[in-house]
Amino acid sequence: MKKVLVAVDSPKGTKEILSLFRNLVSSPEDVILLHVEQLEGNSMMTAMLGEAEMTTLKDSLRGTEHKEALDRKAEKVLAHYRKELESGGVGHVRTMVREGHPSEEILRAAHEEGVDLIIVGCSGKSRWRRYLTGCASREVEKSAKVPVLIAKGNGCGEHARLWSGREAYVIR
Amino acid sequence: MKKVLVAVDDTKASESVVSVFDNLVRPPEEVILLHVERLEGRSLMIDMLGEAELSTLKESLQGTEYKEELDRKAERILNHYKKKFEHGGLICVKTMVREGIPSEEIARVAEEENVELVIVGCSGKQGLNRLITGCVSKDVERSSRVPVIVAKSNEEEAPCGLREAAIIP
Repeated sequence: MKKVLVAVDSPKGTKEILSLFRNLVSSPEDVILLHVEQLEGNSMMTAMLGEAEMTTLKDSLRGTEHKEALDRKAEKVLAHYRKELESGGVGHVRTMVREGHPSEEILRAAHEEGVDLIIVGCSGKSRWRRYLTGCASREVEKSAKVPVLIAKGNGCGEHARLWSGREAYVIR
Repeated sequence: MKKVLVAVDDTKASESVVSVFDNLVRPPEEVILLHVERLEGRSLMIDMLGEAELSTLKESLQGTEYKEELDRKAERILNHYKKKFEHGGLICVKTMVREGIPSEEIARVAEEENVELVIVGCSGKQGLNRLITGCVSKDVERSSRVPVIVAKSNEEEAPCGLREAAIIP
């Protein structure tokens, strides 16, 4: 395998991603670590913004404290993962920061770099929160053209199963 | 890596799981090939059946021609993939047939067999079709506790997302 794109959000998923490289996937030549800055925070507005508005938002945020804080966070997260991956003996690691809609930026970066596999974490959001705020891993899974590996953390999936609609009908 | 669960059905999407073993994942010691028979066909009713109703449905279908047809189909599919995997150099391939709701059975088998990775194909369903009939890979991804690889077939068309509609050319 040549190139892998790993999308990281926070240092929380470190253990899971490292263990993937240790056991599951064959060692790649190139690892691209991507962090996408969500300019609009967790608001849902981003799904309603077209390209033009997004560019305006990017422009107007340039140089502000909010943007600087985002940059610092991005740098911190990426440096953390890079160190962990390199000490884990995973090939050549390159970092990348994008701004905008996470799933779209992940897909775009994957396309531009011609990667063989995309690795994303699982947010572990519950059903309703997921409907409201969306879920990057699902969007990526849906539209990617290369295989997508969804890493799982502790307790991930538990919540989802608890609330899957069918369970409500089970008579015990 | 020790155990991997691969879920297959008769759709084209499942073919893509074969390519995953080519170069992406390390060769596992054991592969479990799973096919889930959908007793209710493609009807949406299944989501409304509780465990009790589902087992009644299973019982009443036992021995019918319909069930035999499903069994034959399952065997055909599993043999097809087993041959492909063994041809690709995987030694220990175990096949397994279950009945019921695909995503739930996949998650259940994954737990029972203690696998380290689940591999499913992506149906490539879009929009309304996906919303109405559901998508196995999505449900598996949601409820699984181990990593999931969603394999992709090469000839998939570019999807048209909702957001795209908002872009002014």
